[in-house]
Amino acid sequence: MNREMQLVRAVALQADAVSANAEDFGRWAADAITGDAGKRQIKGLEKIANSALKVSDILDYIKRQTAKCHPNESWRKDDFGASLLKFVSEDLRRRCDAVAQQLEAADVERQRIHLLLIREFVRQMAAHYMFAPLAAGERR
Amino acid sequence: MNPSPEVRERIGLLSDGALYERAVEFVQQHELVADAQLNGLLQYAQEWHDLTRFVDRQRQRDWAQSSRTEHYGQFYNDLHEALRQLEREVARFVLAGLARREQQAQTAFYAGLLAREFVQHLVAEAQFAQTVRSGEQPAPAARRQGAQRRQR
Repeated sequence: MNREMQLVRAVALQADAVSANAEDFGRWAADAITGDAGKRQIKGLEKIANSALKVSDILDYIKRQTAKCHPNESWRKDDFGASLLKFVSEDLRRRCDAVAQQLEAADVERQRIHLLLIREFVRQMAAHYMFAPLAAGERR
Repeated sequence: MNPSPEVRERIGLLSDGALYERAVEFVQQHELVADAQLNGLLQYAQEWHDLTRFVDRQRQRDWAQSSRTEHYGQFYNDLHEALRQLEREVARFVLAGLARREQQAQTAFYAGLLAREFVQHLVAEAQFAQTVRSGEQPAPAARRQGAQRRQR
């Protein structure tokens, strides 16, 4: 298996391992960040995650979105923004470090692994966010 | 002036590493300044000379007249120091053997790139810290447990 395939596979395994977290955060976001504006913001997060060249661009986006909100509304509802920031910057970072260590990755590769992990996590979270209202409707 | 892909890569790594950590630390170590000040910083951070002029102007103001702003002087003095440190660090990006004027131009260019990253992180962290310091509503216990249950 070549280097790129090893990296993609290792990231995919870690992404699978956080799929339950992505589901939790997706449902949490659906409850906190509502309406068309909310959908745009989650799309915005996905877009930033997909286009960012630096992890800090994504972390700054989460901070800015959280800072814009009134207390206990939207990104600040039930601490959503702060918890997402912590998960992305600490938990995903630890997983990234594990992959980087396993692959003996240099700094640039480590940065890319973290970005790929965040991208995959946000993609899953956004899918659960979109699906959550439908699932809630079916349960009623 | 366009940085080479290698220099861009190094700036990206610095931004995610040392600059991000320094910005978070800077905010943690200082009382916060008003949004207007942060917006000013963001606006002037597009160009190194504009940013250093803005910070110098702000640190020379008499902030002690109001108890609401008396800590601004310290904020801008320390920011001035942080920018000077960045300026010293860009020596590694500047090509050796250049004429003095060219060397100064390159230093300003690369210091500007690093400063823009640093200021963006600083402003995002400061705005975020304002929400935290103003007192978040504690999350319901069930939700916290739910989100963390699979993190273990």
